[in-house]
Amino acid sequence: MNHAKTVIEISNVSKRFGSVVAVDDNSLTIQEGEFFALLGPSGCGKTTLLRMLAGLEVPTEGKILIDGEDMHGVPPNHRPINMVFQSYAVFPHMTVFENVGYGLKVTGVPEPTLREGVMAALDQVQLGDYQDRMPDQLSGGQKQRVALARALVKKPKVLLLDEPLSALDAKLREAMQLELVKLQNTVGITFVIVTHDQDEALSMADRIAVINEGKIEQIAEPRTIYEFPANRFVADFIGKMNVFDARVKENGDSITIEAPDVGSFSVSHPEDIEPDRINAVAIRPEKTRLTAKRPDDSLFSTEAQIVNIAYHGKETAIFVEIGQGTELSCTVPNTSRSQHLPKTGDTCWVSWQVDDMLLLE
Amino acid sequence: MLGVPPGIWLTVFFIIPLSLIWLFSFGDKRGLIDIDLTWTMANYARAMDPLYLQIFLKSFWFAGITTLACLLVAFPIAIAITFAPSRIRPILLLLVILPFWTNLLIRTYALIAVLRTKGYVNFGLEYLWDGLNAILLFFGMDPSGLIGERFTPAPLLYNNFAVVFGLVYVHLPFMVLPLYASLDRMDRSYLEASLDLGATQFRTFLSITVPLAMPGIISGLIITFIPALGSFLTPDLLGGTDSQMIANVIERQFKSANDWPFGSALSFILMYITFFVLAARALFSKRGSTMDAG
Repeated sequence: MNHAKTVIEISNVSKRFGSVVAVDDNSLTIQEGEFFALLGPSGCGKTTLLRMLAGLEVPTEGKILIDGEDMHGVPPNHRPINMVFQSYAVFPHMTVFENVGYGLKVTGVPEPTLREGVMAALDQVQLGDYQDRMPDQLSGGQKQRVALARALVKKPKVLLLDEPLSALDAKLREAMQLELVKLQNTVGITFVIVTHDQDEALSMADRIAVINEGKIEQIAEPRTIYEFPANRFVADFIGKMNVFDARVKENGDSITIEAPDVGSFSVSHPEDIEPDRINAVAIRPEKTRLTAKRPDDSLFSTEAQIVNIAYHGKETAIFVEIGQGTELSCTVPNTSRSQHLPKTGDTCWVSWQVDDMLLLE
Repeated sequence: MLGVPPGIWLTVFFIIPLSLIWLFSFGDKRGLIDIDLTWTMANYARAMDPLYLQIFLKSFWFAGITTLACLLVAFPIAIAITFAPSRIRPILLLLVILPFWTNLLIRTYALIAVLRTKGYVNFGLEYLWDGLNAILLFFGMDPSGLIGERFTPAPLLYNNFAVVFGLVYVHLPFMVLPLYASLDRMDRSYLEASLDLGATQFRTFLSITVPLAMPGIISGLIITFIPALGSFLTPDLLGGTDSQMIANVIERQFKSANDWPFGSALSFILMYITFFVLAARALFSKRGSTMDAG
């Protein structure tokens, strides 16, 4: 992918609604052709940020450049950006064809060009045969395709998608995820998607910005977000995580982590970390191992008692107690039908690689 | 009392009186108060006289202009209320409904005070005229050639204009409320999507707002048109000799002319017309929905 050119530049943008700060002094650049996700819990300000890109909200402070141009005072109808709304907003009084053609018609595109563009866009979203249908004859997924075609036909610099998959059922959602990525690769337009669904963001996006309470917590590629979360919020929000309070002491080349609930660990000094600011350690459930016998010394291990088991089909979540009342969640993949599963009350050893632990601020 | 089935109330207070009037319309007037039910069609035939047809036509004309004027005035008001901050929206709605709390007669007399020769509008116009006059004199021009030698009050009362003005004033809330209801229900993202797709505000209004508000527009047209068509007090108090509407004629049959059968016939013709309008609306909305489905 060519990441040469910046298409969106957000600098120090804030948005306040009365005394409520929706977006709090954020800066962000998005490259041309990127699939970028704004991820966060509901009410974190991600949709407000997207609406400011579309011109539907005006930033209280800060600057937004799109394709190098300052968007201050530029109304939505003059921005090289189009949006797929969460409710799809497919006009109920127009046919599919009229919906998709609307954006061309209002800007005076002549009829033959319009027809050509609309049919190409409908083919792109596999709705070629649906041009004469009315929106109330379409399923949710089809309406979404219409909304998608309607935006794509404008050939925008950037396509904004506000929670595009939240109204679809699980099966369709997964299929649409793949399709959106494929579509983005074909059309080569920059996609900016807003979602509260981490699976969606992780599986589709090239880069993710995790947002909490109006502030961007981390911007990185999906794998970095998951494996190296920048802070406690990101670690907790993305996937499942066992987090323990901890303190770090420096001894020259190595550091010692003391987590009262778990134990103490010595690891080599990571370069990019200030030991004073670390106050927690964390381990992902799937990075732990449960064994009947004590594993060898290359792993950190501790004795544990199983307190709860939740079977999820492809994996089993096992909750164990270590030390005095510290609960830890472990995930065991169900790789074989004959796999032995422990029972509640069993004692066992829980272990993990010290390198897989995260140090959190 | 409350245990009486609603059907009884409907019969006693609605169906029986209405049936009586319907029977009267086929009756013959005998003496001062006697009416013989002869099943004559003479009353209806008399109503077809060009004199009365013309008044029917005029009533339609007034009601039509009133309805149209209401629509043009009410649309911006309804939009303003819809997009007003949620704190002041109830206050604006209250202001629209407020006239209902005052008696129609009092409101109409208030309008007379506004429109008459020595009314507030003419006071205002005279004030402007004086000002203009002074300015022209100041610049050494002779005002008599441009704006006349003396201020002549505009004839605003006791004519057709006054009737339509009064009807618009009285019926405006009937138009504002259904429009507001349909605009308020409308998903804002339709408007945002239209802007996002490159349409101007005006284009969005024409292509998205108006079609989506159509149910409210039609309701507003109907519930304005029907009462406007049967208006009695407004043309009676604000109109001149040639601006009476059909309800004024009906009133006269029941009172000064003492011709109840003819008044009843006129009443029922008016009612049939109203039913026809409602039927046309039902047909329209049915066609609208089949168009959606096709």
